[in-house]
Amino acid sequence: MTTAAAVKTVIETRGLEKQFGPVRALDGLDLAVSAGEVHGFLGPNGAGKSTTIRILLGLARASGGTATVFGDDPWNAASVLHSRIAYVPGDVALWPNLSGGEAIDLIARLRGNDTRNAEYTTRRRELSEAFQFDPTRKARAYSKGNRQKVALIAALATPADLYILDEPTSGLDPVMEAVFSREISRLAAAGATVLLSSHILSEVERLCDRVSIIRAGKTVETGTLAQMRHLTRTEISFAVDGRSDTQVATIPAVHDVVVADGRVTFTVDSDAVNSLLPRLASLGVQGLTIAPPSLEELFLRHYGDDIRGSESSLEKAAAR
Amino acid sequence: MNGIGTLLRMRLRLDRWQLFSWVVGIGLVMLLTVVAVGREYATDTEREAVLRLALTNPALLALRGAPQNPSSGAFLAFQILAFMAMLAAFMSTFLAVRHSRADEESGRAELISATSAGRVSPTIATAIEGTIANILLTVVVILVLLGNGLDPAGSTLFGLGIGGTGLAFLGVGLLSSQVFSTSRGANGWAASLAGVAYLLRGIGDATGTQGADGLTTTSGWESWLSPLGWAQQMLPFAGDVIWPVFLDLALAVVLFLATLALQSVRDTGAGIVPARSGRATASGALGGQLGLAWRLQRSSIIGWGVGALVISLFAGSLGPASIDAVKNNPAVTTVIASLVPGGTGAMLKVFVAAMMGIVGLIVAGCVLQVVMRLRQDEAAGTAELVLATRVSRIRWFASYLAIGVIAAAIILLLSGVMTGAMLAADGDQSLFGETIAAAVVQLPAVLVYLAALGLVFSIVPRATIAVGWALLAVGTFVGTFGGIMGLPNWVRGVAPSTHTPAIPLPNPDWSGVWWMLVVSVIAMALAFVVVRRRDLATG
Repeated sequence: MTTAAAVKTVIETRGLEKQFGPVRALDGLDLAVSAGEVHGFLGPNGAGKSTTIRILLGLARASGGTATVFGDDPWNAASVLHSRIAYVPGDVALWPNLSGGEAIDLIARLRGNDTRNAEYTTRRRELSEAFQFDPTRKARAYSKGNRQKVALIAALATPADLYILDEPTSGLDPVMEAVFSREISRLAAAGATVLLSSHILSEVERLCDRVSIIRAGKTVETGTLAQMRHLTRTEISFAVDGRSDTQVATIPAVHDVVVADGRVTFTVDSDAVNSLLPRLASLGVQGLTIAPPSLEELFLRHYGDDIRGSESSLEKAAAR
Repeated sequence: MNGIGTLLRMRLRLDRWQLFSWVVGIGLVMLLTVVAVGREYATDTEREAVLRLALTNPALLALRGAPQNPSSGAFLAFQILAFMAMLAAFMSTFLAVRHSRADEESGRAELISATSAGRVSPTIATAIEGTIANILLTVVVILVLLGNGLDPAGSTLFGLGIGGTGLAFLGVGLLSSQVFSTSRGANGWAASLAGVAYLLRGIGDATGTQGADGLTTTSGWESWLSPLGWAQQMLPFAGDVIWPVFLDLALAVVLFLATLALQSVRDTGAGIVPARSGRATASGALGGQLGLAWRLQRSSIIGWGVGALVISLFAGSLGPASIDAVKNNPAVTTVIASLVPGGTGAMLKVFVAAMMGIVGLIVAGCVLQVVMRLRQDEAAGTAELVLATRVSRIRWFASYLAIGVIAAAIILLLSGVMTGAMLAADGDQSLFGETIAAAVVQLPAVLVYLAALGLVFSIVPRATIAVGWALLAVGTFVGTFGGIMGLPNWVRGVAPSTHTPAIPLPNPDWSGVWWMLVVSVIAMALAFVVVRRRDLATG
């Protein structure tokens, strides 16, 4: 933590491997999260997100490669590191005979906080109100969303340097998701580092500075959303007026022209958008929309093979 | 009423190994005991001697049953029928709760009830599965007895008594699953009721009217309040009365109908006893890992503790009277002394040593459950939540073991004080200190159980719960019945309790204490090393 590099990089894994018997859960995963950034961690089910997180928390040991958190080995320095980390598991399990409020206080205390000071109690009350959470019920009576709220309130009620959140909103309703987004923005503004594993791409798109996409235990893409978008095409469309659509096809950078539902739609390489705009202006197009590629498209681009594969196998099954 | 067949097949598929172990396990215990008792007490004269002495000792009657005659079959019923019927009761209550309240608690029941199976079919399927299990058990018991040359009528009644008890407790398990909103509560109540049933027939048998020949006892009315009593009142090999089994059937049917009635008025997932709401904030007692470990196990530790104190109360208050009656009978020594390794000497002292041995086994059950709880927390994922905080694996593991050691020491001490105080109230102050020592000296054997299961937890976490119960069953069986059954010494030596010095008898052998302490410390140290190194094994 004393070296400049360690301060800058909070989480770093290189060639991380994890073997569960014959199953290779992680196969050379690289991940770098810098201090103060909200980092989106994306991947389909079974890609190895939770396994990576468990290794980062010292709950499982890597079979190969290296992982450091704040410059330390998470396996050996687990309890020291954990006083700086707040964690929300993907599938929150609670003690059935403890109330939600007791569980929140307990986790805060185990993390080394005094739960009697005014700062904590105020923060806890604010969060309980924001998440509309009843802390007196026994944990066995809570739904998935409510169990997640316990872990979230416990994580957010005490200060931490690093927040590791494993699909934290999978059980929350849209209103609670908005509360969650607000809290993450607040953490980011305060300079905390956040590793956010998620399936909700709009959430990642809204909150994250950088994104790593993993697949089958390997990192397939990492960078800022702007960098990633750079590699893909932007979708442009405008209303059909009988003449501009035929001319559009003659512009060199344009691909995939489709005329449907009264609109002309096509894609261009993202770095060619600026040079295209004067041409469109000169055509005098109406109802112009320019949509940068969504994270969903980026995501699908990486898993497109899988999807196409499963579609064709479905078709085969249907044909039979 | 849809899908009962499918649900039944699913239950049998899920339970196939568990039911196999219960039925075959109970059958094996039967077989071993029948063979051993046949060999050890081969003639009517030998058995008569044991019965004459038993009749003078209410404590033995309460533990075993009411003797009827010295024939080999009736003698066997006296020795083990209540114990075997108790095992059938446990098999049935666990089965009932596993497929009713536990399924509701985990949400699996919701998945099933949302299909055309509805809410009632799963309960019916569970009842059918439990009935099948008890029929299988009945057949196995009958076959074991017939195979050992006992007469068919008595063997059949012996088997029916055990199966009938199982069936009655199947109803108890189903009903408590309706009443309590947690599987822990339902299991706890059903198992406690089995304990109460054992106690009721114990009181009835101990206070019964003894025959003029000094060989028979007619049980008191209390025995008729208990399904375990009904099994004994079928008098296998000694009159062969069939009708008490219909009491079992009637009770099972009534409880089953009550279960269906309750199920039709309550919501899925809810209990009749409402769940209480908890504190909004944690109290100071829940201050850290140790506070949490205590909080999670408080009720189970208190349960085991109450069990140990009840036995102590019983031992301290009934002991002197029964010993007085038989102290001049030399044959007595052989039986009670068989419970205590190397036990000879004043009868009351032998009795105290034997009773504290039983308390030691109860405390062993308590510490084994502490380690099982550790595994349950790991499997459920709550351990992950704790280990993601500043709590290290070592502290996490150590907190549970510490709770186990402290709970064991306190329960043993209180049991010794309770027994000693009851004896003192009876006029024998001289034994007070020695009785406490006899209780506390059980601690090394208890630590062996704790350390052994701790080691199993560290190396093969997924086997912890099965191995835990198996350790308790083997330790209890070998430790309690090993002497009577004349098992070879090396087999008896497997049970840690056989290495406990026989205090308050003269010249106790202390070497076992040191060995057991060394073994426990090594096993625990090894467990710490392994726990420190292994991945958390969830699910």
